[in-house]
Amino acid sequence: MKTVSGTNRYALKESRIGLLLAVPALIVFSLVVLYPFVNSIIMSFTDRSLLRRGFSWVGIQNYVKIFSDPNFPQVLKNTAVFVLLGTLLPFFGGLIWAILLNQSFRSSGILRGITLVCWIIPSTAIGFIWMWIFHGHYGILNHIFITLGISSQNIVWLGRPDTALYSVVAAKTWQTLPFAMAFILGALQAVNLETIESARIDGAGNLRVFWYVVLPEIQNVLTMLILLMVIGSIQHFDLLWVMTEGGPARATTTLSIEVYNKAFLSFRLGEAASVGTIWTGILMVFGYFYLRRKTD
Amino acid sequence: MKIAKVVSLMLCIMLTALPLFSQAAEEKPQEIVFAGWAGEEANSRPIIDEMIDTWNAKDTGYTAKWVGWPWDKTFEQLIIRTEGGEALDVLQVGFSWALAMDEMDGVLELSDVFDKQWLEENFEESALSAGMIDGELKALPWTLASIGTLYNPTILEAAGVTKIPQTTAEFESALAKIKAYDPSLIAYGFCTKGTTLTADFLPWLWTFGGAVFDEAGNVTIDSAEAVKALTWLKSLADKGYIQMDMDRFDLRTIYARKQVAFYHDAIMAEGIAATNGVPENELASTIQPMLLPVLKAGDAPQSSLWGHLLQISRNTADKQQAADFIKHIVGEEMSLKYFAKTGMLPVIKKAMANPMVQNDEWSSKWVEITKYGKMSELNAYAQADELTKIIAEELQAALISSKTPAVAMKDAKTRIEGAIR
Repeated sequence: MKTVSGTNRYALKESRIGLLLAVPALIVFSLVVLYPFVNSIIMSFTDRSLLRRGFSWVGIQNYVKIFSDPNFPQVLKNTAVFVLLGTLLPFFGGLIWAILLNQSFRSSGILRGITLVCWIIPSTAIGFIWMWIFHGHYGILNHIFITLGISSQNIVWLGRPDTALYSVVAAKTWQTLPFAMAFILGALQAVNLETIESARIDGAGNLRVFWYVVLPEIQNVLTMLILLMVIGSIQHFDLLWVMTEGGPARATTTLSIEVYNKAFLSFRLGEAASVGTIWTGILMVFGYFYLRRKTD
Repeated sequence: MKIAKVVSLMLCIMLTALPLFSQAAEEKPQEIVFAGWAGEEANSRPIIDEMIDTWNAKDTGYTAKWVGWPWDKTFEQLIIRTEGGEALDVLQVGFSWALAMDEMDGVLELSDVFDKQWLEENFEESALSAGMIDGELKALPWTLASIGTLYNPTILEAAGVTKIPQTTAEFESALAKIKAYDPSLIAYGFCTKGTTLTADFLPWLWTFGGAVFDEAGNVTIDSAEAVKALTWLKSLADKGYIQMDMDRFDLRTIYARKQVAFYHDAIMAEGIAATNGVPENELASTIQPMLLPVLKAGDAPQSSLWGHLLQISRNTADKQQAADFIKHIVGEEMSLKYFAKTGMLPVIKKAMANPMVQNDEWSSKWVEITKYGKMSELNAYAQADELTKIIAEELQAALISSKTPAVAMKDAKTRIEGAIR
């Protein structure tokens, strides 16, 4: 029989092994995540450029430059519109689709599988597919609109400031709707059927059942999902870049595109890092709510 | 006990893996890495492969290898990889990149690796000047020409355009006839997307008497002439002759489908049209080069000088081998093969004098355009790509009526001044 002190010694050894096993992961985390993150914040206070060696400290000059740039409010506005619509449309689309697929009907399984295909296709490929759909000269959408008499001439969807951002949002909705659907469908299938049956016996219709029985049960999942989708939308780059490159005339330039332009077109790493730091700050707000919700 | 087991296991893994790494390091072959975009394009890929294969067939002790990206990604890749210390040797660069590569201290001075006599025997002084930076040879020309204007003779004839337009007024009249003939055609394939927009704009800016910079280096892109040039282009867009959201890649594809009457491209346009599906026997009736229309008769037609340069990366392990590889690819045999497959004009004297080049009808027409070739003013700045992007964004803003041409050009001036400060 072990003594109390003997048990403690054993526990200490176990914790040391745990620490030892975690060390490689901590080293990798520090090298791959922590170091670039801290380095990027430090870099945002320098005039570092890829076009020359060495750098000087410039204090908050990069931040002053960004906030005094007359184009930056438009970048923030574009980001806000893209995040708002790029989250809400696939979210509600996914919710409706999940409710439909949750009904046991023939071929619902096949439909689930087909829906997930949109999510599996790489972003770049989706960008090209939708770029061709929206193309102002040979795009199929224009062909459909003209055939149906909705429009008399081709619309240059991606070349007009009033339609370009919404066109990219449409592509993003198509891409991320399955993600929302899969999440919500999983939650729906965990809802207690007996409670639903009881509500129906008490005379509740579909809407009342959803509102008073189903929604409270899946509320936590929905909140987590929205936070994840907001974070994903703020980070989004691929579709915007492939479809419009931030144009026309910066009409679709979001924070992610701005960082890319500053880093790899202007090669001004200091300025890119300061936009990236602002971007990360915004992301951290949503990350905080996500982690708090997860802990709850 | 458990700690001892874990540590022993880790040691075993390390000891097993160590010889594998050291063996890999010992057996790594010596390589010449040729980096650029030519090997990524369908019409030039076979000849790039041949250049590498013929080099590898020689007993040099170095194996050549191609590393490439699409054209619009090449510059950033070269900069990032050079900065990251990646082993690149010979770099294919555009005119506007050479200075930036030099300013970042990413390339070698070539007079040290090519002897003076070889350079003088093989290159015209004017050709070598394309690679001179601050009096030092930092790049060798691989191919030099101009960005020209192409037209589809069949469409023009069908639309009743009997004469190749020589002035802007004639050009506009031709565009009106083409649009009236078939509204679904793109009368003028002016690039309206991405940074190629600036490349298409500059010759028109010069045509109207404007310039991005004056001789003292002051930004003059907001001059009355520049505003006039943009106002004219916007009027073409408003009339539906120019279509938004078109880049060079789109236009090349649509041109090959005979849906574009005029567009701008480099000398290999004919080869690209063939690659994109225009049958050999229809090339002459589908694509022909012409001089850019002038403002009034007697003015000099404008064109933007274009070409590819070769540089040697500072990361090269053997600069002499890299230089020898350059000699191999710009040499007479390879230059002529490159010309035959892609239409790229050679720069080496013997290749230029070859009857294959001299008697080529397409090239002769292009030489006429190149006579008026002018180096983009933006190339004098290491931030040429950033300036190109600024101008493109402001032009787009004017073309889509977000800004008036005067405001767009004024904003372009402010932003350019900020970028080069």
